[in-house]
Amino acid sequence: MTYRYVVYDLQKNFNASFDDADFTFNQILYWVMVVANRLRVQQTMATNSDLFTSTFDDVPVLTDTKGRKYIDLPVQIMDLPNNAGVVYITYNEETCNCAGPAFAQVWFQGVNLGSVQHLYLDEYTKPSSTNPYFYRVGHKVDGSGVNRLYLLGVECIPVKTVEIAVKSSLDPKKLCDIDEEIPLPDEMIQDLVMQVLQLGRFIMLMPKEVTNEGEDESELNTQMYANRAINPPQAAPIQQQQSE
Amino acid sequence: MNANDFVDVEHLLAEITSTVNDTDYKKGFPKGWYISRIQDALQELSIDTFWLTAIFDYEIPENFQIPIPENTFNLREIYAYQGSLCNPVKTQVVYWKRLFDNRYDGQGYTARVKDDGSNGADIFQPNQRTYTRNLQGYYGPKYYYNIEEGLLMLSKDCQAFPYIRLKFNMMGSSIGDKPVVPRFFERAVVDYVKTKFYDAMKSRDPRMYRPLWVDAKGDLEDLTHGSWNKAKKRIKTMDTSAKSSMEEYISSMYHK
Repeated sequence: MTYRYVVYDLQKNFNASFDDADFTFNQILYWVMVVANRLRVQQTMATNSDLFTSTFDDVPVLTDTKGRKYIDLPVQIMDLPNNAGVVYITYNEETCNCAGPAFAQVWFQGVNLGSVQHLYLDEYTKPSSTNPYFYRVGHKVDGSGVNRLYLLGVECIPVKTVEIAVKSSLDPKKLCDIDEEIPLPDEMIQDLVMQVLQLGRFIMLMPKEVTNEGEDESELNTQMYANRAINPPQAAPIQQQQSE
Repeated sequence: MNANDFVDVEHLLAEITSTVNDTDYKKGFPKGWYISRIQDALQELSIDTFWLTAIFDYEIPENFQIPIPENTFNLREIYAYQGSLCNPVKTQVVYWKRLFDNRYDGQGYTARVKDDGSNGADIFQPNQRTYTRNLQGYYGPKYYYNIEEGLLMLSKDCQAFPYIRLKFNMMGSSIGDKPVVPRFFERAVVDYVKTKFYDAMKSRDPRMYRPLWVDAKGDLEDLTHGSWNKAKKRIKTMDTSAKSSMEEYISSMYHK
């Protein structure tokens, strides 16, 4: 099922239900990808399959200003428990690249940054070139936005590239062709359509009082809960009604 | 029973991680944690059963002191010998002497009872000098040792021999080395690591892991069917040949 097919279908449905709606194609396309990302995580948690796994060869290993080795994630990945968004990272101990004989491939194990110190307490868990680890820094380093995996245990060897497999998310900015297949199993397209329709319906049914009309002279609706603090209901008229 | 057949760590990890559902090491324990538990299991079995032994040969140092080798416990045999390290010729059993201590370099030492009679004025201790001579004269040199503070200390008479052989029990593999596990112990080691895994996971999710821990503990420690007791019995059982030899020896010793 392609993006084009699904988005046009959704747009037609929206226009049928809300004739004055002004949903653009790109807006619906964005919603489709937002909802698809959530469905992909749900499906991964439920099946633990590799349907959404992507692999990348020759990902270059870089060194930051503090001498720590890292790789930039080539795509955004799912944030799953215990770094499960990274399926594997390997390098070849003999060639220090991702290529080489299979028997010399070394796997990096995932670890939380806060647990790194604990690894050094046991001889068997201590990071080394044959027992390396990675941890993720996904927000900022020294104020700059990053999406990195830092590598532990390979500080003293000249590893240049690694091979990586990740469970990737969809990035709306990187969609170039709306005739691409939506990366979801066909049986989930119905869920996708339903949830996007629900998203649009929620926006169309948004109460009028919470929208900004741009009129500062309009009378505040005292029935709205949010306004009661500054404009409490007046008790006097109610008493009058009761006396009448 | 004796054997020379071992299983590799990877073989054990394949079963353990499948059983505890952590084949991708993403439950919070790295691969090294499992190997460390395997080493623990082997260490406990070694200390319980004395199954693993190792021999160390040294030149007797001038200060008569030898640090106890790492990863060993329970000195089993000790011989001083002449010849060479590869070819012991004349050997002498070295005996343990209670409270002997020559922790500082040299031949002097302390002990409750001294073999040179230097405590002869002690009104409570026997005068050892009377035991060192017979009617023909000197009994001969005395070869003994004691262990204190990680040092094996030898008597000065041991200097008549240039080499010494020590036979110790070992505590499994050294910490940090990749363990190899005798096949007798395979089931016990797997159950031990399973139990430790569920024990550690209890603190994360007690409702899920406590029943699993109880089951695993039963597999390991049940007095009749537990793999730990089975492993200990297996390793302590005599080889059939040795048992036959002993039976023949005992049955014939009074009938020759």
